[in-house]
Amino acid sequence: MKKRRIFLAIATLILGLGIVSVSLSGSLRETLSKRTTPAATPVAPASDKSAQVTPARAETAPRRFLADPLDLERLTNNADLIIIGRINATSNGGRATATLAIDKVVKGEAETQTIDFQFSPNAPSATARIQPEVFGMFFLKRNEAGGGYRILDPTYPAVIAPANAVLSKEGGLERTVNVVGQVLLTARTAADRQVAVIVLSSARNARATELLRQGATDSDSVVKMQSISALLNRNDIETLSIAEKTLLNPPARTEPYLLDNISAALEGIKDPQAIPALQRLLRSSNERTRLGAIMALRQMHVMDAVDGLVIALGDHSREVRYESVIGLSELTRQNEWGPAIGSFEKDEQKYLDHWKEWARNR
Amino acid sequence: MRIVRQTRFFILVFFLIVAVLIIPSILKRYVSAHSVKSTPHSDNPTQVRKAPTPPRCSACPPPIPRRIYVPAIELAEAQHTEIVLNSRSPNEMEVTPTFYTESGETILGDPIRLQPAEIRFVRIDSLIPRYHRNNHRWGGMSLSFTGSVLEVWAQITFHGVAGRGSIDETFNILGDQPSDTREAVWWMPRKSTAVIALGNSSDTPIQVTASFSDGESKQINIRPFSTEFIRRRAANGNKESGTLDSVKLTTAPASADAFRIAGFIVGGEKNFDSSIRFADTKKVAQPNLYATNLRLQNTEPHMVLKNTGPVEITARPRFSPVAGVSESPVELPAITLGPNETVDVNLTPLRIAAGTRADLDAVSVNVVNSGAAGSLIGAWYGTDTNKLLTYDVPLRDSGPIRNSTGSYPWRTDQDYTTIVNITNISDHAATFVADIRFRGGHYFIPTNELPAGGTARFDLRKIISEQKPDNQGNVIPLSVTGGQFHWSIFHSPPSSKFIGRSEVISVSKGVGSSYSCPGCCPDSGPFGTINPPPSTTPGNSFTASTTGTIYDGCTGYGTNVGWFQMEFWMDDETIASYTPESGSSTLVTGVKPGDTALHGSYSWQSFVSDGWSICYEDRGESEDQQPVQVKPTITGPTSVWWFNGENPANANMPISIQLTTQTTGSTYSWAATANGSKVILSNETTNTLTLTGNNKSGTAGDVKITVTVNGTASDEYAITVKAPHQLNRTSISHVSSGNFGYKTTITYSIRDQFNNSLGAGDMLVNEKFTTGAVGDFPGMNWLITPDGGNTVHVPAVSDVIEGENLNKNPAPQAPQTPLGSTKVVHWGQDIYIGSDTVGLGRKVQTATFQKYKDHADHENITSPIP
Repeated sequence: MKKRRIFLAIATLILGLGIVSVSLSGSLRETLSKRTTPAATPVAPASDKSAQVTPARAETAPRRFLADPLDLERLTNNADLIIIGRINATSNGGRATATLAIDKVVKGEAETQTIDFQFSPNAPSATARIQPEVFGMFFLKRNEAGGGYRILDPTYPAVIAPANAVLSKEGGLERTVNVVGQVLLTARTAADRQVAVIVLSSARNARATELLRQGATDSDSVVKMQSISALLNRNDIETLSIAEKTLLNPPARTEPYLLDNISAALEGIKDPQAIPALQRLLRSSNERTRLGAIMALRQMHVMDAVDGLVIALGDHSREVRYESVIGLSELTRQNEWGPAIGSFEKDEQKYLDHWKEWARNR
Repeated sequence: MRIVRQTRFFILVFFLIVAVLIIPSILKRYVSAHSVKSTPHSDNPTQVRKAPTPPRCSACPPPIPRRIYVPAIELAEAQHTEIVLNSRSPNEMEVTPTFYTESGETILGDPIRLQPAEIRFVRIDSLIPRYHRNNHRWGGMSLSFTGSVLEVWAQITFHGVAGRGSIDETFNILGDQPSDTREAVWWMPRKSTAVIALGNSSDTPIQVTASFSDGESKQINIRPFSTEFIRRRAANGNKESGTLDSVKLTTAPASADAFRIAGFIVGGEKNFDSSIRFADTKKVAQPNLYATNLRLQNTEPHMVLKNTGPVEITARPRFSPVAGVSESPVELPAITLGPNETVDVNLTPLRIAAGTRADLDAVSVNVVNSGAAGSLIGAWYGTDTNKLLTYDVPLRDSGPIRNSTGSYPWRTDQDYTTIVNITNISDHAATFVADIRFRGGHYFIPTNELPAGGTARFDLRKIISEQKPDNQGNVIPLSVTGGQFHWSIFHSPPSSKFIGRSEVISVSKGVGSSYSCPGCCPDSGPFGTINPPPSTTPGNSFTASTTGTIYDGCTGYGTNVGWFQMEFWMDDETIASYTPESGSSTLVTGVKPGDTALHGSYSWQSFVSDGWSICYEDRGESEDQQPVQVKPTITGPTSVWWFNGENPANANMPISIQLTTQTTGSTYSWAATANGSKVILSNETTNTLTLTGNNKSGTAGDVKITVTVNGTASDEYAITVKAPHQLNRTSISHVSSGNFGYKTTITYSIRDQFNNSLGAGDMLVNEKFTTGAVGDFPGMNWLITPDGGNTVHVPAVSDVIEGENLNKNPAPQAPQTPLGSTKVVHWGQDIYIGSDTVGLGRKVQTATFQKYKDHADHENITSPIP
C-alpha cells in the first residue's frame, strides 16, 4: 500500500512536469528542430493537404525589415478570431494556406478542431513564421470576400502563448494579456519570459502593468530590467527607485543595452512625484540616463520641474542642454526661445544665456 | 509801511505780466505736442472741442532758495525732540538745517538728502553737529532748500512732555508775508504752564508787544536768531478745572516776517499737554472756524473762543458726524462774545448727544461767526480719559485754496496708528482725490464726492490690512509702515473748500500728533491719453481705456490716477464702432478693414502758484486721439509638414494647408513676410491661400504670413513647418530564434525638429543601404537582405533583424549573456521618413548596420542628420 502510494506520487509528479513542459516549450520562441521535449509531439499533418510544405528552415533567408512596433491591443481589437494553437501544415497551392489545430479560442467562434487561414509566405514577420509546429496565439481576420480567414497583420501573425492556457472571463485585451501573462509567470525558460515581457510591454492596461510589476522581480536580469523599462515607459513609477539605483550604480556585468532601455524609458514618466528622482538622475555619469531624465522633466510641463530643467542648462551633453532649453520655453510659452534642434546648434549660447538669466530672475 | 505795500504791489504786477506773456506760449507748445489734429465725426460736429492743455508746472515760478523755521526745538519740560521731514518733491531734495541757540548763536548742520515723497522721522539732536550737542540751550531752527513753496515741509514733536505726553510744533514759511499781529486763545488746566516761544528768524533785532487777557502787557526785545520764552502758570483754584488765557502779539510791520511764534501748554492735570496755535487775524480768508475729527468718545473736550475785534459778535458751533453724513448735526446755541471776550464753550448738549449717538464718536465742527474775518479765533482740545492722550486739533478758518490739500506723514510701525479725516466745509457737494505714497509705490484713491459737511476717513492700518487693489491694481505691501498721505480738492465746483487732518497716535509712546499742513496748490489735471489700442479685426473688440496723471501745481509731482473720464468719438464708424460714448473706457469693435481714429475729450483743472500762497485756477478741455486699425483676419492651421517633397498622406501631418481670410474685399494679396523660402504659396490673390511646406522651421512659428485686403494688411500669422528630424531609440531586445539563432528588435520614436513625437496615423518609412556588405568574420557567408520600405501605424519604427540560417558560417547563436562581440557582417544604413520608396523622404538617421554572431545592432548612429 505504501509502495503504491509512493509510485502514484512519483507518477503524478512526472506527469505534472511533463504538462508544464508541453505548455511552454512550444511557444513562439521558435524551437530548434532537434527539440526533444517528450511532450512536444509534432502535430500530424492534415492528410488532405497534398501541397504540404516541409519546413525549409535552413534554406530560408533570415529577415530584417522596418516595421511597426508590436501592439497587442490593436491586434486584439482588430482580429475577428484569436486562436491559441499549433500549425499543422502549410500549403502553397495558389494561395498560401496554413492549417491551425485549435487549442483555445480566445476571441470569436470556431466550430471545428482546426481552421485554415491564408497568409503571405513572403511577408516578413517579426514574431513567428507561418510553418508547421509553430505554436502561439494567432490573430486572424475574416476575408471580406470568399470567406475563410487570413492573418490579420503579417508582421505580427501570432504572439507567444502557453499550450494549456487558462482563459479569463474578461474578453478583449484583458484576456490576451492574461494568456501572455501565464507565460511570464510560469515559463521555466528565461527566453520565453523575455518574449512575454516584450509582448506585455505593448499592452497598456492595468493587468499588463500588474504582470510587468511581477516581471520586475524576475530572477532573470533581462526579464527584470525589460519589465522595469516597460513600467517606466507607461508612467508607472513603482519601480523607479530600483531603476534609479540601477542606473546610478549598475550591478556588475549588467548589459549596457538594458541600462539604455531603462534610460530611454524614463521619458515615459509623467508623474510629478518622480521629479526628485529624475533630478538625482541628472547627476548620472551616463549621458543617456541624463537625457531620459531631462526628457521626462520637459514633458511634464509643470513648474516643479523647473529646477531640474535649469540644472540641465549646464550639462555636458548638448542634447541634454537642448531638452532643458526647449522644456523651459514650452513651460513658459516663450516660443521664440525654444529653437529647433538645428537652430540651437548654430547659436546655443544665446539660448543658454537667456534661460540662465531667466533662472536668475525668476 | 508804504514802501512795503508798494513793493508787494509791484511783485504782484510783475507776476501777472509774466503769466500773461509766458503762459500762452507754453500752452501753444504743449498743445502742439499733445493734441493731435483730428477731423471729428461728421455726425457729431458739436464735439469738435479743443481747449489748450495747460502746462503742468512750467508756468510756476522757478525754484528759489526757501527757508522754513520754528522758534523752539527744545523745551525744558520735554525729554527729547523729534522732527519729521516731509518732501513733497518729485526730485531728490537737499535740505540744510541751521540751529539757533536761545541767545541767537547760529550753528550750521550737515545737508540732508530727501528722496521724492520721503517722510523721515529723526531725533533733532542727531541733526545737530556732534560737537554742539548738549552744549547749548537751544532756541529755534530753520531748514533751507531750493525749490517751490512747501516743497519740503517739517514738523517738530516734543516727546516725554511731563513724563509721557507729546506736543507738536509746526514750521513757518519765511517770506510768506504775515501781518504784524498774531493772536491765540487757549485753555489751561490746573497746574499747567503756557510756554510761548517768540523767535526772531532774522539777523536784526525785533521788538514785540504781548498783551494777555488778564491785562498784562509786555515789551519783548528779541535779538537776531534768538528765542525768548514766556511762561504763564495757570491759576490753581480748587473749584475750576481750568482757566482761559489769550494773547495778542504785535510787532513792527518790517519785523512781521522775522517774527515767528509757537506755544505749548505743559504739565496740566490728566496729562494735558498741547500746543497753542496762533492765528494771523489780519490774513484770515473768511470769518468762520472749522475743525475735523474731534473725538468725543471717552474724551473730555474743550472748546474756547475769543472775539479779537472791537465789536460784539455771535458764534454758532455746528457739529457733524465724521462718518461722512451731514444729517442730524448738533448745533449749539449761539454764543455772544463781547469785544476781546474769551469763552469756554459749554459743550454739554454735544456730550449728551454723543452719549446716545454712536455717529458722534468723532465729529467735525463749523463755527459760524457773525463778525468780520479774523474776528473770531478758537481752540479745541480733547483729552482721552482712557489713553490719557491730548488730541490737539486746529480750529481755524478755511484759509486759502491750498488748505484744501495736504501731504501728511503717516506711520503704522509699532503701535502707531494714522487716521486721516477730510471734511467738505463747503455748502455744496465737492470732490477730492487722495494718494497714499510710500517708498517704491503708491496707492491711489479715485475721486471722492462728499456732501456739504461730509467727512471721509482713512485708517491707514485698515487700508493696508485689507490689501484691496486700487484702480491700478496697486496695494500697499504689508511690510510698508510709513509714507505720505497726499490729498487735494479735485474737479469741485468753484468756491469749494475742504479741511484735512492726520492724527498719528502711539499710546505706548504717549504720542498724539496732528498734521494738517497743506500743500502749495491743489493738484492740476487730469492730463492724459487714451491708451494706445491694439489693432483689431472685423467683429472683434477691444477696450480702449484711459490713463491720466495729476500734478502738484508747484512741484510738478505727478500722480498716476489710472483711468479717468472722457467723451469719445470715432472718425469713421464704418471702420470701427464704439460704445459707450463717455466714461473711463469704451469698447471698440472692428467693422471692416481700414484705418480710423478714436478721439476722447476731457476736462481739466489747473492751479498755478504765485510762488507763495496764491494759486491761480484755470479750467479747460483737451483732446487725445489714438489710431484704430481694423485688420483682416486669417484663420487656419498653424503648422504644415515637410517630408522633403514626399507625401505620406497622413491627415494629421498635411504637407499643404489652407489659410482663409474671413474678411470680404475686392482684392486679396497673400505674402510670406518672414522665412518665405520655407513655404510655397499658391492662390495668393483669392481669399483662401494654399500653403505647402518647403523646408523645416528653425523656431516655432518662424514663417509669417499676411493677407492684404483692399489695401489693409493683416497681422502676421505664424506658421511652423514641421519635419521628421531624428530617431530616438526607445528600446532594443534580443531573443533567441529557432531558425536563425537570434532576433533583435530595435525600436525608435520618430521625432520632429523640436524633438516632439510625430502625430498619430500611418507613416511611410524606408531604409537605404549606403554601402555593400562588408564581412567581418573570415569566410562569412551570411545572406544580405535588401533594403525596403514599409508603413507604420504609430510614430515609431522597429528594425527587426533575424540572425542567419544555422548552417551558415559562422553559425548564429542565441543571445549570450553577456552579449557576444563576434562581428560577422556590416553595411551602411540610412532611414527615411515620409516615403516607402528607398531613399526618398526626410533622412533622419544614418548608421552602421552591424550583425554579430548572437545579436545585431545599429552602431555609429548620427541622428539628426546635420
